[in-house]
Amino acid sequence: MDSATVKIDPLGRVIAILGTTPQGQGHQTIVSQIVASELGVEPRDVTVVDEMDTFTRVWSISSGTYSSRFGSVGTSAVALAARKLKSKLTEYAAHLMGVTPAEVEFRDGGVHRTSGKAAPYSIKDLAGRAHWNTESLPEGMEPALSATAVFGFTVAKADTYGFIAEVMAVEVDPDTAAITIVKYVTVHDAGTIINPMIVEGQIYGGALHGLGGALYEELAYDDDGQFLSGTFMDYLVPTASEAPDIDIAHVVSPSPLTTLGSKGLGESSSMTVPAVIANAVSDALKPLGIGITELPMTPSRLHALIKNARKTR
Amino acid sequence: MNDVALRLTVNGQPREGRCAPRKLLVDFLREDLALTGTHVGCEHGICGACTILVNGEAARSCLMLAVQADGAELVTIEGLMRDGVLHPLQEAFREHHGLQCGFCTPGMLMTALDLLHVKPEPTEADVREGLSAVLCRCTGYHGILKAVQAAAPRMVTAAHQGRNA
Amino acid sequence: MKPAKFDYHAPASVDEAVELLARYGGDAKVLAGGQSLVPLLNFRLARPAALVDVNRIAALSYVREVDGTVAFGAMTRQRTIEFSPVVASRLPLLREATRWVGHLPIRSRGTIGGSIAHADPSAEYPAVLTALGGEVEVQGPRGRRTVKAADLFETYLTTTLAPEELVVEVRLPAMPAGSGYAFEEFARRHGDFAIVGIAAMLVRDGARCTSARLAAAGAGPVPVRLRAAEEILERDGLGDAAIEAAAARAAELVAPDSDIHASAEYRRHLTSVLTGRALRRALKTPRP
Repeated sequence: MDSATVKIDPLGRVIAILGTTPQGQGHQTIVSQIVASELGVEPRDVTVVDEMDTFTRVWSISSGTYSSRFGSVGTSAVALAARKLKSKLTEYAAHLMGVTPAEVEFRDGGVHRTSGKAAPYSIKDLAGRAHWNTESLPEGMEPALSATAVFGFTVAKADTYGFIAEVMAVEVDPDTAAITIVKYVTVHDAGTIINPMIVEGQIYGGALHGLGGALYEELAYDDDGQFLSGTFMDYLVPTASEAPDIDIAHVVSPSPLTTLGSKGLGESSSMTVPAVIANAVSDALKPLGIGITELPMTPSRLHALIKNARKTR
Repeated sequence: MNDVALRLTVNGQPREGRCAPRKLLVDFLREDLALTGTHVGCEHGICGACTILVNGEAARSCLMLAVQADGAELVTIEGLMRDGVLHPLQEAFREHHGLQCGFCTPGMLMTALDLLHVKPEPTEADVREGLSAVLCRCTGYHGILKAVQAAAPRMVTAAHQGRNA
Repeated sequence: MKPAKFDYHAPASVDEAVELLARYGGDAKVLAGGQSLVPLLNFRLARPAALVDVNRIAALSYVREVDGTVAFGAMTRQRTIEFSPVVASRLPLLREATRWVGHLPIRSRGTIGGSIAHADPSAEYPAVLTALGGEVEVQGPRGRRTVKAADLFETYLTTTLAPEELVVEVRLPAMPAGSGYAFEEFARRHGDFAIVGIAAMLVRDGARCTSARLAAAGAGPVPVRLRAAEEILERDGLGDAAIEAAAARAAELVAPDSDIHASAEYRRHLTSVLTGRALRRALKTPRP
C-alpha cells in the first residue's frame, strides 16, 4: 500500500505529500502531473513533498519505492487523494452557490454551475474562504482542504505486473569473442503511460543494468574466498560507450486494478536483457553447439567455450 | 605534518584555506569551502562523479591533493549557473531527462563541458567516448547523450554571442 | 578511504627532488600525475613516509624535437601529447595510443614519465616506448644516466630505477616519414587498461619491410618487444602469409598471467589476433 495527501493552503497553493521517497524515479514530475490533471491546474502549481518519515506519514510494511510500485500503487493513492479533495471542493462550492453538487462541475481549476451564468469559484477563491471563514463550510464538512488516500492490493496478485517482449540480434567476433549488439527491440506493456519520458528513462536505465549483469559485472571470488572485484577497476559498470541503441515500443493495456490503469515498469529490462542476450549469443554460436548457461559472458570465458567446442568437433 | 595554507580561485572567486597535505581536493571543496555540489564517489578515479575543471581542464578531484590546487583556477558545478540562468548544458540535461538520481550529474556536466570545449561539434561516437569517463547507474546514458548533443550547437552560439558557455 | 599521513614536499627543481628522495631512502614516493598513485594512497595500499610532488617543477614539461628524436619532459601531460602537433606529425603511434589511456579527465593529469615509471605492463605508453626502442633519462644522487626501454622494466609495477632516481625525460625516435602504424587494443570497457594491446610500426621500401616494430601490453609482467615476429616481416615482406606467420609467432613470445578479467590462454590468443589486426591496419595508416 501507499498513501498520499493532497491539500490546498490559504493562498490556494496545491501541495501533494507522499508516503514514499524517490531516488530519481521522477515522483515530483509524475505527481505534479497527476494532481494538476485532476484539479485542472498547471503541474508547476503543484508542490510535491517527496520525502517520508515513518513517524509522520501513513505507512505500512508494503509501502515504499521499490519493486516498480510507485507507478502503480503510489500514483493510485495520489489520484484518489486528488479526487477526494476535488469532490470536497465541488461540494463546498455548490453549498456556497446554494445548489446541489449535481448542479455544478469541476473544470479548469474551478467549480462552475452546469447551467446559468453564475460566476465560478476558483480553487484560490475556495481556499481563501474555507481557511478564513470556516462557518462558510456546509454542515458536517470537516474543516481544512485536505484529503488523504491509501491505496493497496494484494501483493501476490499478478494483475498489475508489466509485460515485456524483447528481440536482440548480436554478432560474436570469433577471434576476440567480443559481443556486439546489432539491434535490440524492447516492447513493454506498462498499462497507462503516465509520463513517456520517464518511462523511457526507466527502460534505458533498466536495460543497461541488465547488460551490466550479462556482460560485465561480477562479484568474483578466488578459491580461497578472497573477494576479487572490490573496486570499480575490477567490478565493471558499463559506460556510455557500452550502452546499446534501443528501439522501444509500447502496448497499452490498462490495469483494471489501479486508479489510472498504470502497471509496474521500473526494473523491467534489467530482468530480460540477461536472458535475451544469452539467447542471442547461444543462437549465434549454435553451429558450435554452444549454449550460454553462465553470466557474465566475459570475452575470456566465451573464448574458452568457442575454443573447446572447436576442439571437440 | 603541519597543515598547509592554500589560495586558489574557485568559480571566479578567490578562496583560501588550511588543511592537512593528505586532504583530497574533493574533500577540501566539500568540507572546507562548503561546495557540496561536487560528489565523492569511488575515490579511485573511475566513477567520475568528482570531476571538476582545473585550469580549464576536466580532472578528478579525488585524485588530487588539495594542496596541489594552490594557485589553480577551479570551476565546480556551482560555477555553471550564472545570474540565475542555467548553463546551456544544464538546460539540455533538464530538457532531455539527462539525470535521474543526480549523483553522477556534476561529474557528467563538468566532463561534458570539457569535451565540448575540446570538440565543439562532436559526433555521437565522440560524445559516447567522452562521457565514458563518468559512470551513471540510472539513465542508461540515453538522456545524457541526447542532452550533450543538444547542448553542443547552443554552446557554440552562446560562445559567439559572448554568453555563458 | 583517505590517504594515511605523509610528509609532503613540492620541490621547484629536479636537484631538490632527487635530494629529497635520497633523504627518505626509499620511503618516499614521487607524485607525478597521481592517476595511479593517489588511488593506491586512498586505499592505503601505499603508505609512503613522504610524497615528493614534482608538479611544481616547470622545467619538466616540454615536447621538443631534436635531430630525429622527440624528447618529452617527464611531467608532460598525456593530454598535451594528445593535442601536440609535433606528436601528431612525428609520433602518430603515440598519439593513437594516447587515446586509449583512461579518459580525457585522466589524461589532463596523467604524465608520460609517470606512466612509464609506474610500469603497469598493461599500460599503453610502456608498450609504445618498447616498440619504438625509446629511452628515458633519469637523475639520481650521482647524476644523470640513460636507460633504454629494453633495460627499464623489471616486472609488474617495477622498473630497474633506484628509489632515489627520478625520470626526467622520455625520448622516442621520430617515426620515419611514410611509416605505417597502429595501436590495437582489446579492453572490456572503453578506457580500461588493456587486456592486450599491440603497438605496431612498419617501414616499407616497395614490397619489402625494411623495419618492423611490435610490442605487446598486457601479455606478461613487462611490455614485450615481439622481435621474432618483426623478423618474419623483415625477411618475408608484408603479404598475408607473412602477417599471419608473424601474428602466430607473436603468441609464442609472450608469457601472460591469468587474472579476474582474462585467462593467460586468452591473452596469448589475443596477442596473435591483435598483432594481425595491427599489422593490417598499419599497412593502411602511413605517417604523414
